[in-house]
Amino acid sequence: MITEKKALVKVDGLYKYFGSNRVLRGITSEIDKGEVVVVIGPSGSGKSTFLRCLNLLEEPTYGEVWLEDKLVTPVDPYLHADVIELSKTYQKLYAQYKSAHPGESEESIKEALIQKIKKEDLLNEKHEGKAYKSLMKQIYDENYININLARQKIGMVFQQFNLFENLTVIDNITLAPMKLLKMSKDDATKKAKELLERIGLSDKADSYPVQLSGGQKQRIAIIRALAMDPDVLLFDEPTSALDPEMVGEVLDVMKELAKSGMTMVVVTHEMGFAKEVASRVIFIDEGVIMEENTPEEFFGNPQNPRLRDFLSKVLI
Amino acid sequence: MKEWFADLAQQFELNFITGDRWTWLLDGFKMTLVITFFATLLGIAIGVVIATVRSSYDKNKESMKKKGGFGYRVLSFFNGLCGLYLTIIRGTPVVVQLLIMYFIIFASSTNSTMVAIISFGINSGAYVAEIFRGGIMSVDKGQFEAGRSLGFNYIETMRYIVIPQMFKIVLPMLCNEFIVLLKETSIAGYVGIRDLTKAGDLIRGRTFSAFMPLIAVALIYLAVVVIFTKLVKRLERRLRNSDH
Repeated sequence: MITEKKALVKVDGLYKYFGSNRVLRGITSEIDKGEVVVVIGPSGSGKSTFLRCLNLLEEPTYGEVWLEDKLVTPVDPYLHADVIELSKTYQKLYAQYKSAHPGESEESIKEALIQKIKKEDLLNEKHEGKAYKSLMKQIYDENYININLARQKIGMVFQQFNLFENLTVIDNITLAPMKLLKMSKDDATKKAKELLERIGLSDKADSYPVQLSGGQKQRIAIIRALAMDPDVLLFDEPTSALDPEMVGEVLDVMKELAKSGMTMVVVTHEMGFAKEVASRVIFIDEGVIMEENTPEEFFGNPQNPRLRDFLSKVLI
Repeated sequence: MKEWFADLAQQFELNFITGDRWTWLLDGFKMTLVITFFATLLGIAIGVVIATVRSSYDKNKESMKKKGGFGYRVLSFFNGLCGLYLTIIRGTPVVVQLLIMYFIIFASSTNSTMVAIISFGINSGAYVAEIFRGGIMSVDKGQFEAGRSLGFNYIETMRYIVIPQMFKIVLPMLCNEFIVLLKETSIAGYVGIRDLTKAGDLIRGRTFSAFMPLIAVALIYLAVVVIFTKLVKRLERRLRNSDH
């Protein structure tokens, strides 16, 4: 469908199978700019897989992920109906037809366009027409964003931090901006220093990751992702691998980020964080979204029985 | 006792000083180092390529198979080719490989040093490839994912993140491979190359005294190996800076 409202990230009918194990079974959601979406759910519910599908670290079995108006998931361009409708080519045909036949209804224009495409053999029922294929390819290319480009705009923070072990803290932060955004070394270093200042770890710039505590590693992992100026940040259980006394320092950085207007999707077990910071909470179980609401409603007045059960166990 | 020393001195003079025979050893030693050095370089180059092909095939075959297409066919073809190469090289003696190279494949070439470098390099490449592949696989998967999640493509992630970490892991094994290769080149005499071993043997043939030249050759090999091992230990310690 031609959508007028542009969500920052849009997920449509996401399925993920690992062999016969159906981890995600049709997830559809939209994340707007500036939102902080917290995803909770029991372990094995598919919440981490959902997050990893957003930047294609896991490739969805079916379904689409959109970043603004660009398609991220590698769907078969020849079979993608929505892409046709979104395409500039279609819109051009549409505009031409509309100016030639003013006053006709949307439905009949659409009908006529389909007729026209069929007549000129742009569309073959079996999807074999050469012209159709090249048209589809062209349309697809116009609406598709390369995954590596998309990932530059979708930052990710991992449970196990995954700082590059062979590089110092400052090199961890500057590597991607220098190589991918072609920032000069001076600019990248200056920016990295500012970010380190912001989280109070300026003195660790020349340390190696192994010399840091878990909390410090995770805070640096967050600013490493931030250094790329992403549109949205994904957090995959960022505090689950931390000692309890270090959870606070990481959550503080995330809260500050949320206040600064960063769009965030956070998979976590920290209910306090969800209540305090989230603009929306999603409950995923058995691979589907069971409930989705504002934190007040979500925690104060849960509708789904499974959610009620889950909350009664985690909120002691 | 005195007589024994006098005898030893005489032997020494006969084997090394007379006719400047020590220069034979020196030239042979140079030849051994040249062959080992360039064969190692060639081996590492071959090893990196093969390890990359094989590990990217292992990593991507599932997702690529599903999509099919040209990329998958090319990759699986090269993967098969690499498998064949590893089987043949690791399944035959290096002397036989050297002889085949010298007398069949490069029969028209007169540059026997080059032939030796190529054939030791190709031989070493097979072992280095497996060392590298093990190294790539032992780098934590999270490092790769972190690289990809920042927007690096497969090759960039390998180049900036995985391979530097792999080198640290494989360095001791690579050092071992160099030592093995250094000693393996002693068969270069088979195709008429005057390497260190051959030089010692030539002296023996000229002076009819085996003890001095052969022990000298052995000591030279030993000295190189010991010194090289020391150097690598030091390098390892420096690389380990990021580990404590």
